[in-house]
Order: sequence, then structure tokens, then C-alpha cells
Amino acid sequence: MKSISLLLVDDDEIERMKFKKVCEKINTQHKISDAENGEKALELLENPENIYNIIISDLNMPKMNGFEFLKKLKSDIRFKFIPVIIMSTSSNIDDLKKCYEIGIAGYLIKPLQYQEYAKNISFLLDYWAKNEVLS
Amino acid sequence: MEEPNLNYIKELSDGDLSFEESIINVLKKEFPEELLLFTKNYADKNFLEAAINVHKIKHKISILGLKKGLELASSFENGLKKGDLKLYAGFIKILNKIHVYLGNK
Repeated sequence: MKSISLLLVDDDEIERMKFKKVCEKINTQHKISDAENGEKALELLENPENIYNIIISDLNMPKMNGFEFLKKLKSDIRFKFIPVIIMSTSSNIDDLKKCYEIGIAGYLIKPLQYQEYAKNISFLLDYWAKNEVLS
Repeated sequence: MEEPNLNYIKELSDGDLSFEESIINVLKKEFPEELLLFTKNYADKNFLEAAINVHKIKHKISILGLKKGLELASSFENGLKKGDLKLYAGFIKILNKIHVYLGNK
């Protein structure tokens, strides 16, 4: 399986630790970087040495929330083609619609149970690692 | 009545004790700060800000295995956005449980 470089954007430190731990358990070959908000994520993206195959972002974050971050990404020719998956606790249909209007590749509601969470992350990484867009 | 527990963290850590400890340390550091912020915003009637605080605290309720607590917190968060405060007392009970639990860790 191809290894991917992923950027996780989430203000919650425990969520970042949790995500990285699950990724480590699934496939240690994937490179996981993280940022605590959209501003920090853009700083990482601005560095030409950082190439990301996929971005996973939360919605509710301080400084620059997920919607603002998405809009910035999608209006920048350098980043607009990076697939973005929103991973949020919000199941609000308006949030979901708004995200798809801006241009996301998927929306994952954070599962509460560990097994389901790990399964979803595993499926997501597996899918994107095999996706032709990345080759 | 459900109680905070480390089941989720243990399942996640898969025996990695240093990881477990790191998570608990973050909980112990962040929870009192978030509790204080929530209390202040609620007392000041900044209910939208208080809803944001509840949203953050929800992650901790979840990772400490409080499933019913999480449902209540989610409803309270949504209620706060509309100025509905009726779940406040229930939410405070959850926070107190977590406060005591983390204090003993």
C-alpha cells in the first residue's frame, strides 16, 4: 500500500493524539503532521518542503475555523486540489452543506466508540492511499 | 449512574503506558482551564461562548467514557446556542464527576 502524507487540523490536543495513535496502529508508513488551527495549517502548507496528499480538518477551532480554512485553501491555486475531509462532531446538515459547497472530498462525523473510530480512520487512510489521484 | 473511566484510553493506548499518561496529563491540565472558562462565560451570560466551551469539554467527556454525559452535553451545547439553560444542572454534575476523578489520578 502506498504511504500518504496527511495533515490533521484540530484544536483539541487529545483528538490529535488519538488520531496519530490510531494511524500508528494502522500503518506506521503514513506520515502524519498536525496543526492546532487553520492558521498554523496554512503556515505548514506555505512551506514548499511540506507536500500533503490529504488534509483532515475539524470545523470548530479558534483563530481560523474549519470553514475559513477551507475557503482559504480552495481559493489558492497551490492548495485547491488537495482533498479535504472534514472530521467533526457536528452532524448539523447546514454545516455539511456549507462544507460541500466550498469543496470537500468527504465528511466524517467523529464516532464515539473507539472501535468505530479506528475502523473509519483505517477505511479513510486505505481509500486515499489507493486513490489514483495520489499516484 | 455512569462514572468516568479509562476504558477508551486503554483501548486506544493498547498497553502503551506512556501514551496513557500523556493523555491523562493533558486532561488534568486542560480540564480545569476549560471548566473555569465555561463557568465565567455562563455567569456572564455569554451563552454562545459557553456553548463553545461545552463543545471542547465534550471531547473530554467522551474520552472518559461518559456516553450519557456526552449526549447531555451535546443537547446542552445546542440549547445554549438558543439560550435554553435547562440542562445546566445536569451538565454541572458531569463536570463535578470529572473534576473529582481527575483529582484522584
